[in-house]
Amino acid sequence: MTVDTDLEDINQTTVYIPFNDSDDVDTDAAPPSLFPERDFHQGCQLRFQACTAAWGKCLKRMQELIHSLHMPVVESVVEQVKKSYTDELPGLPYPELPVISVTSSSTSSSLFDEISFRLEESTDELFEDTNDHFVTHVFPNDCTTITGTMKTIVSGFVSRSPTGGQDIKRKPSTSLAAYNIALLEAWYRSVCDARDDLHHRSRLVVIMHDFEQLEPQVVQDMFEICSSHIPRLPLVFILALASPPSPSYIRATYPHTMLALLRVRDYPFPPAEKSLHNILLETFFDPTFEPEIMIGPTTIDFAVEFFTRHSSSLGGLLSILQLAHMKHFEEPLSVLAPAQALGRSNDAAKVLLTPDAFPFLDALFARVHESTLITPVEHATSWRSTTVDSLLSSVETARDAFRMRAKLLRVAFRLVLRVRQVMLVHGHKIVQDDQTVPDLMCLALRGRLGSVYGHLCSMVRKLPAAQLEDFVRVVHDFFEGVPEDVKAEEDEVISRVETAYKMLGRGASAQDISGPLGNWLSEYFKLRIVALEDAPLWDIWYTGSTPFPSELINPSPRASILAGLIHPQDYVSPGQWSRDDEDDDLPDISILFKGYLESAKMINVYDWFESFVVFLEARKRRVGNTRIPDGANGTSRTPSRKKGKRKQVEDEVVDEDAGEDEEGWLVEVQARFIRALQELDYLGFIKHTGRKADHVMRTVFDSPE
Amino acid sequence: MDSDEGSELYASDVEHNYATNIFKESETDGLIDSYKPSFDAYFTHASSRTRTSTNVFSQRVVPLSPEEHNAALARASVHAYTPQVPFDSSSFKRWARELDEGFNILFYGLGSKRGILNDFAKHVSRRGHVTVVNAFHPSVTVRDMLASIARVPGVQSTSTSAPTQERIAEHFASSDSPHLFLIVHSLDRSPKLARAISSLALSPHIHIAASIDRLNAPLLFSASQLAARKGSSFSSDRATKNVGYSWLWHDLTTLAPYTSELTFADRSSISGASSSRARVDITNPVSGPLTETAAMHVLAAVTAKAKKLFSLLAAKQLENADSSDISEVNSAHNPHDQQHFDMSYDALFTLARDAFIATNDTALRALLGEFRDHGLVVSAAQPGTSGSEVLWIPLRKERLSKLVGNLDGDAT
Repeated sequence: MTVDTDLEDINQTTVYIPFNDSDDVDTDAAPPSLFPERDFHQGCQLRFQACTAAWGKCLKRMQELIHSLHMPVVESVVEQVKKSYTDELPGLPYPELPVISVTSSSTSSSLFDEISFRLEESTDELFEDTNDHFVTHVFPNDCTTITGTMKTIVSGFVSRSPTGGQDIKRKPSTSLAAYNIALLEAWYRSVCDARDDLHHRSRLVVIMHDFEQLEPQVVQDMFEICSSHIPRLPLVFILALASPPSPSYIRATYPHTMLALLRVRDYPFPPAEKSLHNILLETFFDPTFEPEIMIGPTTIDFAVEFFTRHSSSLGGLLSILQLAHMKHFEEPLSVLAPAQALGRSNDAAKVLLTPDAFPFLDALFARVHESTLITPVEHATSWRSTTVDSLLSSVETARDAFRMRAKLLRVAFRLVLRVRQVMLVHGHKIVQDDQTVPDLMCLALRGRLGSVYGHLCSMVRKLPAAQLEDFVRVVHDFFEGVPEDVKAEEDEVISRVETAYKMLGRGASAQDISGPLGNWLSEYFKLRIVALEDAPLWDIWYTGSTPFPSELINPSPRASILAGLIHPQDYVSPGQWSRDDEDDDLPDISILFKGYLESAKMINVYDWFESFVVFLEARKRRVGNTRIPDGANGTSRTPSRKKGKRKQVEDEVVDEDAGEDEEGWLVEVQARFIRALQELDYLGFIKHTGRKADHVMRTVFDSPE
Repeated sequence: MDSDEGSELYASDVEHNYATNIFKESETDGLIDSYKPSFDAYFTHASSRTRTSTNVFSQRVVPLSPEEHNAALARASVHAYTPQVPFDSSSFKRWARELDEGFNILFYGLGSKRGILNDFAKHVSRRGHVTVVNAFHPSVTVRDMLASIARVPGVQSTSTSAPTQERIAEHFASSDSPHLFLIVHSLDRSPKLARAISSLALSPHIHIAASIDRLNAPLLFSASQLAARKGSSFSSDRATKNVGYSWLWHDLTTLAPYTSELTFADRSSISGASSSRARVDITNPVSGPLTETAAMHVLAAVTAKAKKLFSLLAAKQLENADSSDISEVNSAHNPHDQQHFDMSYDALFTLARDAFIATNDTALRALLGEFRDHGLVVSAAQPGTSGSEVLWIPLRKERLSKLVGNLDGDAT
């Protein structure tokens, strides 16, 4: 095949392989199961669809939340852009360049897509304000020099045709240089003419991404140039900052002379952690929203830790949850996660009553029968009459039970948070008040929230009359707001709260209300906040404590490379690594790396080579090749510090007397050394300083273990 | 998800390793000496004087010619142990699924990943168009990649030049566009390419599988680029202007030698694989040691007189080398350096005149010119004297004698 030869050919910088859709793609689209012993043929495909659906639902919810988080900032930024150049302070000596800084570290970068979308298509019918603005994006990579920066900005606008038609070609001989701001000015004039926009209401918005990565000198020059062209050129800059609003990066970095040209407006986001907690809470602990898959405490822990320690981006959070979904649907049983996953009962039977689905049925049967879905009395006899239908209906029962259980848990958890919040508002001291919302979530999912709500309920019992009234109202209102099915399920606690509410209205003493209320709530929490793992077949809808595959998101390539060098045998299948003496089977690069680890900061390449030769020759002798002449063994090749005649003679002996084989061996060793050395160099272990002749510097000082 | 054998053991965070190790120390006193964090090791090494021998590798060891090198490595495959890490190609489908889910994949770990990624490229060619980029190639450019992508039907517009990144990103953003799989070998070798890819990587129809080799390669990517996701969370049908990678990391330790990645490295120099050198070498064809075959080619093309002159110089050099072995102990620390067996220009001129090769200075210079241009004869000012020139052939003794033997054989 030509593709094969092309791919092997290293002289090609790129190889193109055309789309080959002759083969049937659908049959092999699904990856093989990780658990073939209890899976069936179509399972992968079905799980794949279920996963897409479940994740889609979760993603939609989270995007709505993120969107609503962005909304106020987007609104005010758009408003600010509109107001720029019209809403100016009177009496300024010169016009100021409007700059809007948005602190966006905590949020996903799609914020700027949103802003640019709003700016470009803002059609306010009411005021006939149909002039859309022009937006261009600038990334730090393009802005290493002032010429490059200006070129990016100018061409970002000018590449659009002023009349909205086809792209126009500019001849270099007749047009201004691409970095010349006068070109932009000319373009803007023609845009306004084309649009009959006499008041020049279109703004030229430049969004500068990762503003901290830009060279301050370049930015300074750029602002200088731009500010000399306003207001003829209504430029507005939006800076995407990752650093916190105070201390301000802009004010700390740029001199006053430059800041005087700008009119900076800050739009910070709410603290990152708070929005993370909110999103988690609103997605997985909202009584009105039911995610298909409940996320377990390990995933929540990982997501929170990753967010706080590595990258506080909501995009990262989405990726983590998506991976959690994908991992969850690796489990064969998860195919039953959506209702009627296998279609109607007839279809389901057809799918499952094939020989290759028997392992799956077996596993399902075992799980159903060891669960509490079937009463022990039935258990003894029912297995004989089990059909696919009855199995699936058991699963349906379990699904409903799990759903309800999770829902009630969510409601109870939200009440705990509410109570906690009320207590904090009233100035009560809460033990363990350093626990964050995700911490509490994990405890609730594990059913270990006892100490928290126990403490809260004991505080309820001691509430003074003034606060009690407020508290009871809060709890009462809370239950008013829960969905109908929850109300039906929780009628006991609701009627009790109702009683307390009525007693309050009748003016009963605080002691009489708070005591029982505390007990009732405690009872209620105890009943509802239980580990989800106790539900039958829980692992179909709940990721539980399965570890999150963190190395997909947060890997350690460095540790992996070191491990590969130091313990290559760990990567090889056990059968292949036969000998006891590990040193005998080390690849060349590992041998060289051993020397690297033992050496000091600088390595003399010749010494390294010598030790490599000694090692290889020792190994060669051990292997039993007796044909090595005495003179060629390692000790005589190692140069002694005193360079004497004797040494020289020995060397000559080797050179002169060694046979063809010996010469070949030395050349081979040298070639292997060079190859291994260059491989280490390629991996970045070596720095050529040139300070000493043929010495290299170590770059890694990790210890071997 | 899928992860290779052993990755669980070692994929834990480096920081985390330290933490557990330090924890162990505090528990058991005996272990304190056995563990040293890397920064401690660095300062220990930096504070002490480096003791190395004064031997210089490039002087003591004659570099091998590419032919010798390749022949030696072919022989070495018998002795050298090259471990095979088991690989199951069923991972391909898993990776393809991850690409479908909107992630891009980055492979790390020791060993050349080129073979496996090429197989993967063939695998995904059933799902869409594939472009494989050899980023380890010293002369790879962003334009090459774009030109290759332009071969996908429909991408190339009327103009003949390679399309811009924006044009490509726009093309693949539309929902009816085909899928493009971009396979990049050793992405970390070309930061420019990595930057260019960052503006394509978030396009919903472009899927990227790349490998990195360098220890510090993750520094190429900023935190915000790593966290960026495909598909705007604001609306899915609009192309995002963002840059980023959306990597999923996979440990793909193969332990395979980096043969193809190092093809462009200069095998005769210890710094031949470092990136700065590799770039220079491609522009400088006469680098590297003179080979026998190269010399034969040059000699076949010159006049008989010039050939005679060469063998004269060679014979003299061999003679010098033979005698120096016994008598000149001073040069013994540097036995192979051919400059020590050189010949002054004046001496050569006398010899050449005696042998009726060149009767005047101009003729001799003309004859030598051809050899000098091809690096067959090297000249330098004689140390210690002013203006006097010395000449020698930069070939080791055995090769030179073999060459002279061939030359004489042809002549007779």
